[in-house]
Amino acid sequence: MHFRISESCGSPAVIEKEITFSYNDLHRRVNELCAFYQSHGIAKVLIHLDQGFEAYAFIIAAFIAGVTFCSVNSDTPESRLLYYESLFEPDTIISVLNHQSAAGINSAAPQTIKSTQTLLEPQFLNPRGIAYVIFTSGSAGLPKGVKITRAGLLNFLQWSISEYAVSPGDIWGQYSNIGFDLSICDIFTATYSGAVLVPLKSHGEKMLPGPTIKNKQITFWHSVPSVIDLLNKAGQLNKQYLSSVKKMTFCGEKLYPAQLELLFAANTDLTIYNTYGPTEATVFCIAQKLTAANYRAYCDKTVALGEPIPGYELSLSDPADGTAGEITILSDFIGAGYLDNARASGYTTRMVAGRSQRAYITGDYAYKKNGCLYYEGRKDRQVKILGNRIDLSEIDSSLRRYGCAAAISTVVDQKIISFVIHSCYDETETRTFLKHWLPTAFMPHRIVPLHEFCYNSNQKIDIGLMVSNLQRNEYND
Amino acid sequence: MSIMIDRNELIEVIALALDCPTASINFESGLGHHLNWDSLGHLCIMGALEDRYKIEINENNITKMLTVRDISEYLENNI
Repeated sequence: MHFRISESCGSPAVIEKEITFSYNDLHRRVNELCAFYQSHGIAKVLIHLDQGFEAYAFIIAAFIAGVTFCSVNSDTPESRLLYYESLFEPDTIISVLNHQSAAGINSAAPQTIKSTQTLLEPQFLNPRGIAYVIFTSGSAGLPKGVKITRAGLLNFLQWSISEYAVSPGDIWGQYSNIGFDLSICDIFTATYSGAVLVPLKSHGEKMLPGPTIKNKQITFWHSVPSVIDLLNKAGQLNKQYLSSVKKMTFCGEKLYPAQLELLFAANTDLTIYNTYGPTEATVFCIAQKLTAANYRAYCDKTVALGEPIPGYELSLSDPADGTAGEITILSDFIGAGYLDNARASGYTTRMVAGRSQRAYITGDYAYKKNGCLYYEGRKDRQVKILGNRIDLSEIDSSLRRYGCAAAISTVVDQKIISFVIHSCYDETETRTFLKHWLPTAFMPHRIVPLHEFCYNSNQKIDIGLMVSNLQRNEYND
Repeated sequence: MSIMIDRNELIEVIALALDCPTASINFESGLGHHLNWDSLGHLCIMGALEDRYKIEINENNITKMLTVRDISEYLENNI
Protein backbone atom coordinates (compact mmCIF):
# COMPACT_ATOMS: atom_id res chain seq x y z
CA MET A 1 0.00 0.00 0.00
CA HIS A 2 1.19 3.48 -0.90
CA PHE A 3 1.12 5.75 2.15
CA ARG A 4 0.85 9.44 1.50
CA ILE A 5 -1.58 12.27 1.96
CA SER A 6 -4.44 12.20 -0.48
CA GLU A 7 -3.81 13.95 -3.78
CA SER A 8 -7.35 15.30 -4.12
CA CYS A 9 -5.77 18.74 -3.87
CA GLY A 10 -8.66 21.13 -4.30
CA SER A 11 -11.07 19.24 -2.09
CA PRO A 12 -11.44 20.03 1.62
CA ALA A 13 -9.09 18.32 4.08
CA VAL A 14 -10.02 19.98 7.38
CA ILE A 15 -13.07 22.02 8.33
CA GLU A 16 -12.70 24.02 11.55
CA LYS A 17 -15.87 25.87 12.44
CA GLU A 18 -16.28 28.18 9.42
CA ILE A 19 -12.74 27.78 8.02
CA THR A 20 -12.06 25.17 5.35
CA PHE A 21 -8.53 23.99 4.57
CA SER A 22 -8.06 22.15 1.27
CA TYR A 23 -5.66 19.31 0.55
CA ASN A 24 -3.60 21.94 -1.30
CA ASP A 25 -3.35 23.86 1.98
CA LEU A 26 -2.43 20.69 3.85
CA HIS A 27 0.24 19.70 1.30
CA ARG A 28 1.74 23.18 1.43
CA ARG A 29 1.80 23.35 5.22
CA VAL A 30 3.16 19.82 5.63
CA ASN A 31 5.93 20.59 3.13
CA GLU A 32 6.81 23.77 5.03
CA LEU A 33 6.97 21.88 8.28
CA CYS A 34 9.04 19.04 6.81
CA ALA A 35 11.50 21.70 5.69
CA PHE A 36 11.37 23.29 9.16
CA TYR A 37 12.15 19.99 10.87
CA GLN A 38 14.96 19.19 8.44
CA SER A 39 16.58 22.62 8.37
CA HIS A 40 16.71 22.73 12.18
CA GLY A 41 17.93 19.15 12.51
CA ILE A 42 14.93 18.27 14.67
CA ALA A 43 14.67 14.61 15.60
CA LYS A 44 12.00 14.87 18.32
CA VAL A 45 9.09 17.31 18.56
CA LEU A 46 6.58 17.74 21.35
CA ILE A 47 3.28 18.99 19.92
CA HIS A 48 1.05 20.66 22.48
CA LEU A 49 -1.75 22.14 20.38
CA ASP A 50 -5.51 22.12 20.10
CA GLN A 51 -7.03 19.64 17.69
CA GLY A 52 -7.14 21.22 14.25
CA PHE A 53 -5.33 21.94 11.03
CA GLU A 54 -2.03 23.11 12.57
CA ALA A 55 -1.76 20.15 14.93
CA TYR A 56 -2.56 17.72 12.13
CA ALA A 57 0.04 19.31 9.84
CA PHE A 58 2.78 19.16 12.52
CA ILE A 59 1.98 15.50 13.23
CA ILE A 60 1.82 14.41 9.59
CA ALA A 61 4.98 16.35 8.71
CA ALA A 62 6.84 14.73 11.62
CA PHE A 63 5.88 11.28 10.42
CA ILE A 64 6.84 12.05 6.83
CA ALA A 65 10.16 13.63 7.80
CA GLY A 66 11.09 10.79 10.17
CA VAL A 67 10.79 13.00 13.26
CA THR A 68 9.51 11.34 16.44
CA PHE A 69 6.48 13.27 17.63
CA CYS A 70 4.86 13.35 21.01
CA SER A 71 1.40 14.89 20.82
CA VAL A 72 -0.19 15.99 24.08
CA ASN A 73 -3.56 17.38 24.99
CA SER A 74 -3.62 21.19 24.99
CA ASP A 75 -5.34 21.04 28.40
CA THR A 76 -2.34 19.28 29.97
CA PRO A 77 -1.32 21.08 33.18
CA GLU A 78 2.05 22.83 32.85
CA SER A 79 3.76 20.78 35.58
CA ARG A 80 2.78 17.60 33.82
CA LEU A 81 3.96 19.03 30.52
CA LEU A 82 7.34 19.76 32.06
CA TYR A 83 7.52 16.15 33.23
CA TYR A 84 6.75 14.95 29.70
CA GLU A 85 9.47 17.28 28.41
CA SER A 86 12.01 15.95 30.91
CA LEU A 87 11.36 12.35 29.83
CA PHE A 88 10.92 12.87 26.09
CA GLU A 89 13.71 15.49 25.75
CA PRO A 90 12.34 17.09 22.55
CA ASP A 91 14.46 19.26 20.28
CA THR A 92 11.57 21.67 20.06
CA ILE A 93 8.14 22.21 21.51
CA ILE A 94 5.23 23.47 19.45
CA SER A 95 2.87 24.71 22.09
CA VAL A 96 -0.18 26.75 22.85
CA LEU A 97 1.94 28.09 25.71
CA ASN A 98 4.91 30.36 25.13
CA HIS A 99 7.50 27.64 25.49
CA GLN A 100 11.16 27.66 24.55
CA SER A 101 12.88 24.42 23.72
CA ALA A 102 16.04 23.13 25.28
CA ALA A 103 17.74 23.64 21.95
CA GLY A 104 16.70 27.28 21.97
CA ILE A 105 14.42 27.02 18.97
CA ASN A 106 11.41 29.25 19.48
CA SER A 107 8.25 27.24 19.76
CA ALA A 108 6.29 29.63 17.54
CA ALA A 109 5.09 27.77 14.49
CA PRO A 110 7.09 28.66 11.39
CA GLN A 111 4.99 30.80 9.07
CA THR A 112 6.89 30.99 5.80
CA ILE A 113 9.47 28.42 4.98
CA LYS A 114 10.72 27.49 1.56
CA SER A 115 8.97 24.23 0.91
CA THR A 116 10.46 21.10 -0.53
CA GLN A 117 9.13 20.22 -3.97
CA THR A 118 7.57 16.90 -3.14
CA LEU A 119 6.53 15.06 -0.02
CA LEU A 120 8.94 12.46 1.19
CA GLU A 121 7.71 8.91 1.20
CA PRO A 122 7.61 7.71 4.80
CA GLN A 123 8.11 4.04 3.97
CA PHE A 124 11.72 4.71 2.95
CA LEU A 125 12.55 5.54 6.55
CA ASN A 126 13.69 3.04 9.17
CA PRO A 127 10.63 0.98 10.14
CA ARG A 128 12.15 0.26 13.55
CA GLY A 129 12.41 3.96 14.25
CA ILE A 130 10.02 5.53 16.75
CA ALA A 131 7.08 7.21 15.01
CA TYR A 132 5.58 8.69 18.14
CA VAL A 133 5.61 8.66 21.91
CA ILE A 134 2.33 8.86 23.75
CA PHE A 135 1.96 9.38 27.47
CA THR A 136 -0.45 7.23 29.40
CA SER A 137 -1.27 6.83 33.06
CA GLY A 138 1.27 4.77 34.99
CA SER A 139 1.05 2.44 37.96
CA ALA A 140 4.08 3.92 39.71
CA GLY A 141 2.28 7.20 40.32
CA LEU A 142 3.76 8.89 37.25
CA PRO A 143 2.75 8.88 33.55
CA LYS A 144 4.60 6.56 31.16
CA GLY A 145 5.78 7.48 27.66
CA VAL A 146 5.02 4.61 25.28
CA LYS A 147 7.24 4.33 22.19
CA ILE A 148 5.40 3.29 19.02
CA THR A 149 7.40 2.23 15.98
CA ARG A 150 6.92 3.39 12.41
CA ALA A 151 6.32 -0.23 11.39
CA GLY A 152 3.59 -0.53 14.02
CA LEU A 153 1.83 2.61 12.86
CA LEU A 154 2.12 1.65 9.19
CA ASN A 155 0.70 -1.80 9.92
CA PHE A 156 -2.23 -0.21 11.75
CA LEU A 157 -2.86 2.25 8.92
CA GLN A 158 -2.76 -0.51 6.35
CA TRP A 159 -5.66 -2.11 8.22
CA SER A 160 -7.62 1.08 9.03
CA ILE A 161 -7.42 2.55 5.52
CA SER A 162 -8.51 -0.73 3.95
CA GLU A 163 -11.17 -1.68 6.53
CA TYR A 164 -12.83 1.71 7.03
CA ALA A 165 -12.63 2.44 3.29
CA VAL A 166 -13.40 6.14 3.68
CA SER A 167 -13.09 8.30 0.57
CA PRO A 168 -13.02 11.98 -0.46
CA GLY A 169 -16.79 12.12 0.00
CA ASP A 170 -16.52 11.21 3.67
CA ILE A 171 -16.53 13.59 6.62
CA TRP A 172 -14.70 12.28 9.67
CA GLY A 173 -15.70 13.50 13.14
CA GLN A 174 -12.39 13.95 14.95
CA TYR A 175 -13.48 13.82 18.59
CA SER A 176 -10.40 12.77 20.59
CA ASN A 177 -7.77 15.29 21.66
CA ILE A 178 -4.30 14.80 20.16
CA GLY A 179 -2.94 13.31 23.39
CA PHE A 180 -5.27 10.33 23.00
CA ASP A 181 -4.06 7.83 20.41
CA LEU A 182 -7.50 7.46 18.80
CA SER A 183 -6.57 10.79 17.19
CA ILE A 184 -3.61 9.11 15.45
CA CYS A 185 -6.06 6.79 13.71
CA ASP A 186 -8.28 9.75 12.78
CA ILE A 187 -5.58 12.03 11.42
CA PHE A 188 -3.71 9.51 9.26
CA THR A 189 -6.60 7.33 8.10
CA ALA A 190 -8.68 10.32 7.03
CA THR A 191 -5.95 12.32 5.29
CA TYR A 192 -4.44 9.28 3.59
CA SER A 193 -7.91 8.44 2.26
CA GLY A 194 -8.86 11.92 1.10
CA ALA A 195 -11.66 12.37 3.66
CA VAL A 196 -12.45 15.62 5.48
CA LEU A 197 -11.46 15.93 9.15
CA VAL A 198 -13.84 17.88 11.36
CA PRO A 199 -12.28 18.50 14.81
CA LEU A 200 -14.63 18.82 17.76
CA LYS A 201 -12.35 20.78 20.02
CA SER A 202 -14.42 22.93 22.35
CA HIS A 203 -15.81 21.51 25.59
CA GLY A 204 -19.27 22.43 24.34
CA GLU A 205 -18.85 20.47 21.11
CA LYS A 206 -17.54 17.48 23.04
CA MET A 207 -20.39 17.59 25.52
CA LEU A 208 -23.05 18.18 22.86
CA PRO A 209 -21.66 16.58 19.67
CA GLY A 210 -25.06 16.12 18.02
CA PRO A 211 -25.27 19.54 16.31
CA THR A 212 -21.78 19.16 14.80
CA ILE A 213 -22.63 15.67 13.50
CA LYS A 214 -25.83 17.00 11.98
CA ASN A 215 -24.59 20.35 10.65
CA LYS A 216 -21.31 19.04 9.20
CA GLN A 217 -23.03 15.91 7.84
CA ILE A 218 -20.46 13.65 9.51
CA THR A 219 -20.29 10.24 7.82
CA PHE A 220 -17.59 8.59 9.97
CA TRP A 221 -17.49 8.83 13.75
CA HIS A 222 -14.71 7.71 16.11
CA SER A 223 -14.87 8.16 19.89
CA VAL A 224 -15.22 6.48 23.23
CA PRO A 225 -18.61 4.82 23.88
CA SER A 226 -19.45 7.39 26.60
CA VAL A 227 -20.35 9.75 23.77
CA ILE A 228 -23.35 7.53 23.02
CA ASP A 229 -24.63 8.25 26.54
CA LEU A 230 -24.04 11.98 26.08
CA LEU A 231 -25.99 11.95 22.80
CA ASN A 232 -28.77 9.99 24.45
CA LYS A 233 -28.99 12.29 27.48
CA ALA A 234 -29.12 15.32 25.22
CA GLY A 235 -31.96 13.83 23.15
CA GLN A 236 -29.69 13.69 20.11
CA LEU A 237 -29.47 9.95 19.62
CA ASN A 238 -31.99 9.84 16.80
CA LYS A 239 -32.32 9.96 13.03
CA GLN A 240 -32.48 13.75 13.00
CA TYR A 241 -28.88 13.91 14.22
CA LEU A 242 -27.38 10.64 12.96
CA SER A 243 -28.87 10.22 9.47
CA SER A 244 -25.64 11.21 7.69
CA VAL A 245 -23.46 8.77 9.66
CA LYS A 246 -22.43 5.58 7.85
CA LYS A 247 -19.77 4.14 10.12
CA MET A 248 -18.96 4.51 13.80
CA THR A 249 -16.01 3.07 15.65
CA PHE A 250 -15.63 2.94 19.41
CA CYS A 251 -12.62 2.30 21.58
CA GLY A 252 -11.30 2.93 25.06
CA GLU A 253 -14.20 1.66 27.15
CA LYS A 254 -16.68 -1.19 27.32
CA LEU A 255 -19.38 -0.98 24.67
CA TYR A 256 -22.74 -2.23 25.91
CA PRO A 257 -25.53 -4.00 23.97
CA ALA A 258 -28.02 -1.34 25.12
CA GLN A 259 -25.86 1.32 23.48
CA LEU A 260 -25.86 -0.63 20.20
CA GLU A 261 -29.63 -0.96 20.33
CA LEU A 262 -30.00 2.81 20.67
CA LEU A 263 -27.60 3.44 17.79
CA PHE A 264 -29.25 0.99 15.42
CA ALA A 265 -32.71 2.30 16.40
CA ALA A 266 -31.49 5.77 15.36
CA ASN A 267 -29.94 4.56 12.09
CA THR A 268 -30.40 0.98 10.91
CA ASP A 269 -27.85 1.40 8.11
CA LEU A 270 -24.91 1.97 10.45
CA THR A 271 -21.80 -0.17 10.44
CA ILE A 272 -20.27 -0.09 13.91
CA TYR A 273 -16.84 -1.27 15.02
CA ASN A 274 -16.08 -2.17 18.62
CA THR A 275 -12.31 -2.05 19.05
CA TYR A 276 -9.86 -2.86 21.80
CA GLY A 277 -6.18 -2.45 22.47
CA PRO A 278 -3.93 -0.75 25.00
CA THR A 279 -1.81 2.21 23.93
CA GLU A 280 1.24 -0.08 24.30
CA ALA A 281 0.04 -2.26 21.41
CA THR A 282 -0.29 0.66 18.87
CA VAL A 283 -3.66 2.46 18.74
CA PHE A 284 -5.86 -0.66 18.90
CA CYS A 285 -5.45 -4.17 17.62
CA ILE A 286 -8.77 -6.02 17.89
CA ALA A 287 -11.99 -5.10 16.11
CA GLN A 288 -15.52 -6.43 15.81
CA LYS A 289 -17.64 -5.29 12.87
CA LEU A 290 -21.34 -5.00 13.68
CA THR A 291 -24.50 -4.32 11.70
CA ALA A 292 -28.19 -4.17 12.63
CA ALA A 293 -28.52 -7.68 11.20
CA ASN A 294 -25.66 -9.39 13.06
CA TYR A 295 -24.95 -7.51 16.27
CA ARG A 296 -27.02 -9.65 18.62
CA ALA A 297 -24.69 -12.59 17.96
CA TYR A 298 -21.86 -10.55 19.46
CA CYS A 299 -23.56 -9.41 22.65
CA ASP A 300 -23.21 -10.75 26.16
CA LYS A 301 -22.89 -8.47 29.21
CA THR A 302 -20.87 -6.26 26.85
CA VAL A 303 -20.21 -6.28 23.10
CA ALA A 304 -17.56 -8.72 21.82
CA LEU A 305 -14.06 -7.39 21.29
CA GLY A 306 -13.66 -9.16 17.95
CA GLU A 307 -10.69 -10.51 16.05
CA PRO A 308 -7.08 -9.33 15.95
CA ILE A 309 -6.12 -7.14 13.01
CA PRO A 310 -3.38 -8.55 10.71
CA GLY A 311 -0.01 -8.96 12.40
CA TYR A 312 -1.47 -9.58 15.86
CA GLU A 313 -2.34 -12.64 17.90
CA LEU A 314 -3.93 -12.90 21.34
CA SER A 315 -3.66 -15.38 24.14
CA LEU A 316 -5.56 -15.67 27.40
CA SER A 317 -3.71 -16.78 30.50
CA ASP A 318 -6.66 -18.98 31.47
CA PRO A 319 -8.57 -19.88 28.33
CA ALA A 320 -11.21 -22.04 30.02
CA ASP A 321 -14.62 -21.21 28.56
CA GLY A 322 -16.52 -18.76 30.75
CA THR A 323 -13.48 -17.95 32.88
CA ALA A 324 -11.68 -14.67 32.58
CA GLY A 325 -8.03 -14.83 31.67
CA GLU A 326 -5.45 -12.12 31.23
CA ILE A 327 -5.00 -10.93 27.64
CA THR A 328 -1.50 -11.09 26.22
CA ILE A 329 -0.94 -9.48 22.82
CA LEU A 330 1.68 -11.07 20.56
CA SER A 331 3.00 -9.06 17.65
CA ASP A 332 6.06 -7.49 16.09
CA PHE A 333 4.01 -4.31 15.90
CA ILE A 334 3.51 -3.64 19.61
CA GLY A 335 5.34 -0.65 21.07
CA ALA A 336 9.08 -0.57 21.62
CA GLY A 337 8.81 -0.07 25.38
CA TYR A 338 8.70 3.03 27.55
CA LEU A 339 10.88 6.12 27.62
CA ASP A 340 12.03 5.16 31.07
CA ASN A 341 13.00 1.59 30.27
CA ALA A 342 14.19 0.94 33.80
CA ARG A 343 10.64 0.86 35.07
CA ALA A 344 8.66 -2.34 35.21
CA SER A 345 6.50 -2.92 32.18
CA GLY A 346 4.24 -5.49 30.57
CA TYR A 347 6.52 -5.91 27.55
CA THR A 348 8.11 -9.33 27.25
CA THR A 349 8.77 -12.12 24.77
CA ARG A 350 7.05 -15.47 24.30
CA MET A 351 8.07 -18.55 22.37
CA VAL A 352 5.53 -19.22 19.62
CA ALA A 353 6.13 -22.16 17.26
CA GLY A 354 9.80 -22.22 18.18
CA ARG A 355 10.22 -18.51 17.50
CA SER A 356 10.68 -15.73 20.03
CA GLN A 357 7.73 -13.39 19.67
CA ARG A 358 7.37 -9.92 21.18
CA ALA A 359 4.46 -9.74 23.61
CA TYR A 360 2.62 -7.30 25.84
CA ILE A 361 0.85 -8.53 28.96
CA THR A 362 -2.10 -6.15 29.18
CA GLY A 363 -3.46 -6.54 32.72
CA ASP A 364 -6.90 -6.71 31.04
CA TYR A 365 -9.06 -9.76 31.69
CA ALA A 366 -11.47 -11.28 29.17
CA TYR A 367 -13.50 -14.43 28.70
CA LYS A 368 -14.62 -16.47 25.73
CA LYS A 369 -18.23 -17.38 25.06
CA ASN A 370 -19.64 -18.96 21.90
CA GLY A 371 -16.37 -18.26 20.14
CA CYS A 372 -16.38 -14.54 21.01
CA LEU A 373 -14.03 -12.66 23.32
CA TYR A 374 -15.60 -10.36 25.93
CA TYR A 375 -13.88 -7.82 28.16
CA GLU A 376 -14.24 -8.49 31.88
CA GLY A 377 -12.13 -5.89 33.66
CA ARG A 378 -8.84 -5.35 35.44
CA LYS A 379 -7.42 -6.58 38.70
CA ASP A 380 -5.15 -3.61 39.35
CA ARG A 381 -5.89 0.05 40.00
CA GLN A 382 -6.25 1.14 36.39
CA VAL A 383 -9.68 2.48 35.45
CA LYS A 384 -11.32 4.15 32.47
CA ILE A 385 -13.39 7.29 32.98
CA LEU A 386 -14.94 8.66 29.78
CA GLY A 387 -12.25 6.79 27.88
CA ASN A 388 -9.38 8.29 29.84
CA ARG A 389 -6.99 5.66 31.15
CA ILE A 390 -6.36 6.53 34.78
CA ASP A 391 -4.16 4.71 37.24
CA LEU A 392 -5.59 5.66 40.62
CA SER A 393 -2.11 5.50 42.13
CA GLU A 394 -1.30 8.67 40.16
CA ILE A 395 -4.02 10.51 42.05
CA ASP A 396 -2.92 9.07 45.39
CA SER A 397 0.67 9.98 44.63
CA SER A 398 -0.31 13.58 43.82
CA LEU A 399 -2.34 13.88 47.01
CA ARG A 400 0.64 12.67 49.03
CA ARG A 401 2.89 15.17 47.25
CA TYR A 402 0.44 17.87 48.34
CA GLY A 403 0.97 16.83 51.94
CA CYS A 404 -1.64 14.22 52.75
CA ALA A 405 -0.33 11.69 55.27
CA ALA A 406 -2.30 9.02 53.41
CA ALA A 407 -4.51 8.91 50.33
CA ILE A 408 -6.46 6.19 48.60
CA SER A 409 -8.78 6.60 45.64
CA THR A 410 -11.49 4.41 44.23
CA VAL A 411 -14.17 4.56 41.58
CA VAL A 412 -17.88 4.27 42.30
CA ASP A 413 -20.37 4.59 39.44
CA GLN A 414 -17.67 6.06 37.15
CA LYS A 415 -16.81 8.72 39.74
CA ILE A 416 -13.46 9.04 41.46
CA ILE A 417 -13.58 9.31 45.25
CA SER A 418 -10.34 10.02 47.11
CA PHE A 419 -10.08 9.45 50.85
CA VAL A 420 -7.31 11.46 52.49
CA ILE A 421 -5.75 12.01 55.87
CA HIS A 422 -4.43 15.54 56.33
CA SER A 423 -3.84 17.46 59.56
CA CYS A 424 -5.36 20.71 58.24
CA TYR A 425 -7.24 19.75 55.09
CA ASP A 426 -8.44 22.52 52.79
CA GLU A 427 -10.47 21.45 49.74
CA THR A 428 -9.74 24.55 47.63
CA GLU A 429 -5.99 24.40 48.28
CA THR A 430 -5.90 20.68 47.56
CA ARG A 431 -7.75 21.03 44.26
CA THR A 432 -5.59 23.98 43.23
CA PHE A 433 -2.48 21.86 43.85
CA LEU A 434 -3.90 18.89 41.94
CA LYS A 435 -4.78 21.08 38.95
CA HIS A 436 -1.09 21.85 38.45
CA TRP A 437 -0.34 18.19 37.91
CA LEU A 438 -3.41 16.16 37.03
CA PRO A 439 -5.45 16.42 33.82
CA THR A 440 -9.11 17.35 34.31
CA ALA A 441 -10.28 13.76 33.83
CA PHE A 442 -8.10 12.65 36.77
CA MET A 443 -9.58 15.14 39.22
CA PRO A 444 -11.48 13.36 42.01
CA HIS A 445 -15.21 14.01 41.97
CA ARG A 446 -15.08 13.91 45.73
CA ILE A 447 -12.20 14.28 48.20
CA VAL A 448 -13.12 12.99 51.63
CA PRO A 449 -10.91 14.04 54.57
CA LEU A 450 -10.84 11.49 57.38
CA HIS A 451 -9.07 11.28 60.73
CA GLU A 452 -8.23 7.66 60.03
CA PHE A 453 -8.96 4.99 57.44
CA CYS A 454 -11.06 1.89 58.09
CA TYR A 455 -9.20 -1.42 58.18
CA ASN A 456 -10.40 -5.01 57.85
CA SER A 457 -9.38 -7.91 60.06
CA ASN A 458 -6.20 -8.38 58.00
CA GLN A 459 -5.28 -4.75 58.63
CA LYS A 460 -5.81 -3.89 55.00
CA ILE A 461 -7.54 -0.61 54.18
CA ASP A 462 -11.25 -1.40 53.87
CA ILE A 463 -12.14 0.98 51.07
CA GLY A 464 -15.52 -0.70 50.59
CA LEU A 465 -16.48 0.19 54.16
CA MET A 466 -15.29 3.77 53.69
CA VAL A 467 -17.43 4.09 50.56
CA SER A 468 -20.44 2.64 52.40
CA ASN A 469 -19.93 5.11 55.24
CA LEU A 470 -19.65 7.95 52.74
CA GLN A 471 -22.81 6.94 50.92
CA ARG A 472 -24.69 6.66 54.20
CA ASN A 473 -23.52 10.10 55.35
CA GLU A 474 -23.19 11.76 51.94
CA TYR A 475 -25.92 14.30 52.29
CA ASN A 476 -25.93 14.67 56.07
CA ASP A 477 -22.75 16.77 56.22
CA MET B 1 -33.07 44.05 30.95
CA SER B 2 -32.20 41.31 33.42
CA ILE B 3 -34.51 39.54 35.85
CA MET B 4 -33.81 38.08 39.28
CA ILE B 5 -33.74 34.30 39.53
CA ASP B 6 -35.13 32.62 42.62
CA ARG B 7 -31.97 30.88 43.85
CA ASN B 8 -33.78 28.37 46.01
CA GLU B 9 -35.96 27.32 43.11
CA LEU B 10 -32.90 27.07 40.84
CA ILE B 11 -31.16 24.81 43.34
CA GLU B 12 -34.29 22.66 43.55
CA VAL B 13 -34.34 22.31 39.74
CA ILE B 14 -30.66 21.32 39.73
CA ALA B 15 -31.02 18.89 42.64
CA LEU B 16 -33.95 17.22 40.92
CA ALA B 17 -31.92 16.88 37.71
CA LEU B 18 -28.98 15.39 39.62
CA ASP B 19 -31.23 13.18 41.71
CA CYS B 20 -29.71 14.40 44.98
CA PRO B 21 -30.93 16.36 48.02
CA THR B 22 -31.06 20.16 47.70
CA ALA B 23 -28.91 20.40 50.85
CA SER B 24 -25.97 18.93 48.93
CA ILE B 25 -25.98 21.87 46.48
CA ASN B 26 -24.86 25.42 47.13
CA PHE B 27 -24.12 28.42 44.97
CA GLU B 28 -20.54 27.27 44.30
CA SER B 29 -21.45 23.70 43.32
CA GLY B 30 -20.54 22.86 39.76
CA LEU B 31 -19.30 20.42 37.17
CA GLY B 32 -16.67 18.17 38.74
CA HIS B 33 -17.27 19.55 42.23
CA HIS B 34 -20.28 17.49 43.23
CA LEU B 35 -20.53 13.72 43.26
CA ASN B 36 -23.44 13.63 40.79
CA TRP B 37 -22.43 16.60 38.63
CA ASP B 38 -20.38 15.00 35.86
CA SER B 39 -20.82 15.34 32.08
CA LEU B 40 -24.01 13.30 32.08
CA GLY B 41 -25.32 15.11 35.16
CA HIS B 42 -24.54 18.40 33.45
CA LEU B 43 -26.67 17.41 30.46
CA CYS B 44 -29.52 16.48 32.82
CA ILE B 45 -29.29 19.96 34.38
CA MET B 46 -29.25 21.63 30.98
CA GLY B 47 -32.35 19.67 29.94
CA ALA B 48 -34.11 20.70 33.16
CA LEU B 49 -33.18 24.36 32.57
CA GLU B 50 -34.58 24.18 29.03
CA ASP B 51 -37.87 22.86 30.41
CA ARG B 52 -38.16 25.23 33.35
CA TYR B 53 -36.77 28.45 31.92
CA LYS B 54 -37.53 27.93 28.21
CA ILE B 55 -33.97 28.59 27.07
CA GLU B 56 -32.17 26.78 24.27
CA ILE B 57 -29.01 24.93 25.21
CA ASN B 58 -26.32 24.69 22.55
CA GLU B 59 -22.61 23.89 22.33
CA ASN B 60 -21.79 27.56 22.91
CA ASN B 61 -23.74 28.24 26.09
CA ILE B 62 -23.43 24.80 27.69
CA THR B 63 -19.91 25.60 28.87
CA LYS B 64 -20.88 29.02 30.20
CA MET B 65 -23.02 27.44 32.91
CA LEU B 66 -20.58 25.29 34.84
CA THR B 67 -21.62 26.27 38.39
CA VAL B 68 -24.88 27.25 40.07
CA ARG B 69 -23.57 30.82 40.15
CA ASP B 70 -22.83 30.74 36.37
CA ILE B 71 -26.29 29.34 35.66
CA SER B 72 -27.99 31.98 37.76
CA GLU B 73 -26.09 34.78 36.05
CA TYR B 74 -26.72 33.33 32.60
CA LEU B 75 -30.44 33.00 33.24
CA GLU B 76 -30.66 36.51 34.66
CA ASN B 77 -29.14 37.91 31.47
CA ASN B 78 -30.78 35.67 28.92
CA ILE B 79 -34.43 35.11 29.79
